[in-house]
Amino acid sequence: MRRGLLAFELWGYLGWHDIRQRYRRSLLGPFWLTLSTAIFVGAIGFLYAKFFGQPLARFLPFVAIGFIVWVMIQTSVTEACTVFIDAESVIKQIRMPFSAHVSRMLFRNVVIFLHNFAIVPVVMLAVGLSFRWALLILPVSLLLLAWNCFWVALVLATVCTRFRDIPPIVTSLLQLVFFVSPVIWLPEILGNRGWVAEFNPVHHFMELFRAPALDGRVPLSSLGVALAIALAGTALAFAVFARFRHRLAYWL
Amino acid sequence: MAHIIARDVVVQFPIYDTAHRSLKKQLIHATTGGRIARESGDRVTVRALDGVSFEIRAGDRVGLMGRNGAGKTTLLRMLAGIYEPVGGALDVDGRTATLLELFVGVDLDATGYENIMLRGLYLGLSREEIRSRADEIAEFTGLGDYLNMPVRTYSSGMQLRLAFAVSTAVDADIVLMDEWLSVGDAEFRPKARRRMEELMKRSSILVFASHDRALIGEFCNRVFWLEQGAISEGDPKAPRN
Repeated sequence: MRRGLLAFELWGYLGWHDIRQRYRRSLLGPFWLTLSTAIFVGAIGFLYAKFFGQPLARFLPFVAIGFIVWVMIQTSVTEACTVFIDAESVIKQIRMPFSAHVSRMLFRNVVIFLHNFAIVPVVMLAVGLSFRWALLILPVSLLLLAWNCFWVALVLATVCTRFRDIPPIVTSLLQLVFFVSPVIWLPEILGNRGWVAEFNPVHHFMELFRAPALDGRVPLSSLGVALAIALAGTALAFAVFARFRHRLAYWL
Repeated sequence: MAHIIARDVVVQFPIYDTAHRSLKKQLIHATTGGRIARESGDRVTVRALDGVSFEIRAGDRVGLMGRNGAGKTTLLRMLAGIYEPVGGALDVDGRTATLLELFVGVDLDATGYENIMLRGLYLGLSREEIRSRADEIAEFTGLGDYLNMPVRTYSSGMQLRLAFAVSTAVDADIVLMDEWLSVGDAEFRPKARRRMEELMKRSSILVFASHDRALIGEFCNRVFWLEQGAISEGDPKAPRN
């Protein structure tokens, strides 16, 4: 696994190559995604601000950040299910660290995340939120988000290679998580059921980005939660991966 | 010194049907003690290599022979570290280059040069190493400006030249090769052959699967016969038995 992470030349190039490849023939390139995210955020922002009776100036950046973080989580988890299956031809021909395939997928999604994130300063300016020092925590937030996506992806990729009926289960679970997570609704409206958000890791991952941008606050508790989950998850992923790594090639 | 030592190595494949692939069925199986979902119980396995032992030392050129399905590719993949043996001990010492399939990792939409980079990375070269070899590789392919075009636009012969050129640009102590020596058109074939010979000279061990007796007789000092998962060593110069 360490060797896999160290092979950053390999997965970095491959991930970047994926992006270039996908948008080779289009003018805007990956900014197509930015555009479609912007349209979604705009539409939902306007509509739901009315639903929840929230001021647009608060709700629009809230949805923008929440949705961008959600897209990162969702695509990473979905694509994780087929990482090894898609790389079957390579895995069976050339020995390279398995985790490099996961890193490649994740790197690709981080690049897309950064493209999407270009919306955030625009939205912040539009609603009159100025620069605040707490924003400097964002690289740490991204690191924690990517780290958590990594261990989840490693576990899922391994398990899904063995049991091919898991990806559809994951897809339906993701849908459920989307609706129970405060992506497009504010956790405040839960009232005395606030624990639904407090115990939802996804809420904390989004808080990592929302708190600095919206309130100019460093989200200490969410940072702690994300770090704790990352550490525990990495231990789990290590255990699963160390146990089954040798069997992966046979499962393909 | 590079070496490969195998002691009673066993490689067996689980054969999964859809029931084995299903988490749901496996859970039912586990909770019902196998009474209801009996059909998902007994898993079939195929022993591709059954307690195989051999030693390959530096300087050895080993030819692998055997019918289709005898386990030649499986043996190569095991030596490459792709399939880990389920039994026995395997010790492979040295940097290994695996040339099993020529077209692995080729991206049809990328240009020739990008594919040189991709393929080189897959083979374990660093970007620096690839850049320093790119010119030599490009020259060997003889494709010239085509290398700036997507590989999709190449003829199959041209794709082959490119893949061959990159695959054989590696340096390794141990070269594992599946049969694809006879590649390309009349002009390319002698070039390809020279390049293969150079690669063999650079490496200290070669393991080479082929159906071509003459080729093995020419290149190899040892020959392994594979049959039903077992290995017997023969004389590379003499015909079998």
